[in-house]
Amino acid sequence: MIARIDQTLHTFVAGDAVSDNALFVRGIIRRMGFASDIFAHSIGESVASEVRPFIEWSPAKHDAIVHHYAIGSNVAGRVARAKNRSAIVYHNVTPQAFFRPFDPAYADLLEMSRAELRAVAPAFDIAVADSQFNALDFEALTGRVAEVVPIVVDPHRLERVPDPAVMRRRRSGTTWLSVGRVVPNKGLLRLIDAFAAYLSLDAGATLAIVGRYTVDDPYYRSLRERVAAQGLNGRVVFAGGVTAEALSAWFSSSDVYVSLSEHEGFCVPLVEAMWYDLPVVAAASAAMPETLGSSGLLVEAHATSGEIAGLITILLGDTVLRSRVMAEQRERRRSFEPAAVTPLLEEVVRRLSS
Amino acid sequence: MIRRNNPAIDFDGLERRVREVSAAIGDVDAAVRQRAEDPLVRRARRAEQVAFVREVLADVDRRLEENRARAASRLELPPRLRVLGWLGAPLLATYNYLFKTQREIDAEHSAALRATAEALRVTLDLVE
Repeated sequence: MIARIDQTLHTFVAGDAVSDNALFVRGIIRRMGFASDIFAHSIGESVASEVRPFIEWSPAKHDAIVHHYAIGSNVAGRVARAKNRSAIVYHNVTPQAFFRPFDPAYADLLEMSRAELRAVAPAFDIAVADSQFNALDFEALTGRVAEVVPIVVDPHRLERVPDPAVMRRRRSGTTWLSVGRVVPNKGLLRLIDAFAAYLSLDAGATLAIVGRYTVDDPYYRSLRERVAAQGLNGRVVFAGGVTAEALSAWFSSSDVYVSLSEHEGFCVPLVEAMWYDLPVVAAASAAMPETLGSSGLLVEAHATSGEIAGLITILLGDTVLRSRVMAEQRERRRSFEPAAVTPLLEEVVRRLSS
Repeated sequence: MIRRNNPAIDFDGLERRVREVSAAIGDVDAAVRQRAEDPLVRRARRAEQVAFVREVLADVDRRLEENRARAASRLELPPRLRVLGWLGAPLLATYNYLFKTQREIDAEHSAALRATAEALRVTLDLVE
């Protein structure tokens, strides 16, 4: 008889999609009457009270485990070796080729992660992926079919008072917003080029890139060099990692959400942008067409910088087009509300505990 | 160039309009070159470079501070070990002995960071 279902993951930090998902799942498991904790190898200081160090993880014979897989580590191996009933949730591992020119060591880690996934996947009783895109990737890697349970985006979690300091710095012109870690798969060079083209039509615009970066990262440096080369100084803001209140302020004070990312397993900020009623323009790549469904506007890989700039100009100026895009977004965002996803998660927990 | 994902939108018409606007932008590279030659933009670019060097310098200073804190913990007993009384001192000595090579690497790392910080400050003096 299973009385406890714990979750394990490599990294647990504030504002991270996988970490937020684990918190939501813990709430469901506890409401279903099971004891449940989250164990992580690497824990962010601000969220330390929510998680236990993985070193403390010592499952009893009848405990069940949900492991979130987003990067390889000793955590997945240990969970796979345990004889407990278990489920793996695949959140995608970015293909190493994106990182190879900028961070070969991290590219090696990603390559090993995909190899490790192949090795550990058979040990889990249930396989779940948070998008069809991830499920297909999981199947290609492991030969196993994973069921799709999307990530929850809870609109109540977004109800934060926008940081007044960020709101004050809002400029009068149009603001493009892009949210996510500054890493090579995010297509930020293409975004900067498209924004440079847009400035020809709207010289007072700003591009805000909100997400963690490290100053000595070669990819970040290449972006700064592109900004300088394009003469965009002062028009592109790298806001870095921000608080939930500051993120709310960036969403609230922007005019359009743009992601030209080349690889996303789900892309939570697209749904967050929908909740902030920002029109979304995204690259038709990886899981983004699936997350947007019939909402937002999707640009194909061959769209030029001028065409992306032109599309955003029309979207911002044409109220009929915008209202059609927004109507679909308001419908689509409901697919990821707790009410829509909870029954799917409960079913997984029921099968895991049976 | 736009995926047809919404039946309520006339994508053929939208693509036509996008091409018109895109044509009005013209040669994006030429526009970028023109902007890059603007004296105001050139001044701003200089400010951007200075801001970036400052950002790197702040990061180097932060790492040096972290290294200083780590080095201090090896010279004196950390608060957690003070409860051990007289046992703490030999424990610290053993730790320092075991990790002697690592301490030497850390010291080299700190020296390299200090040299980097100094070079960045000289760069800033030159460009400002």
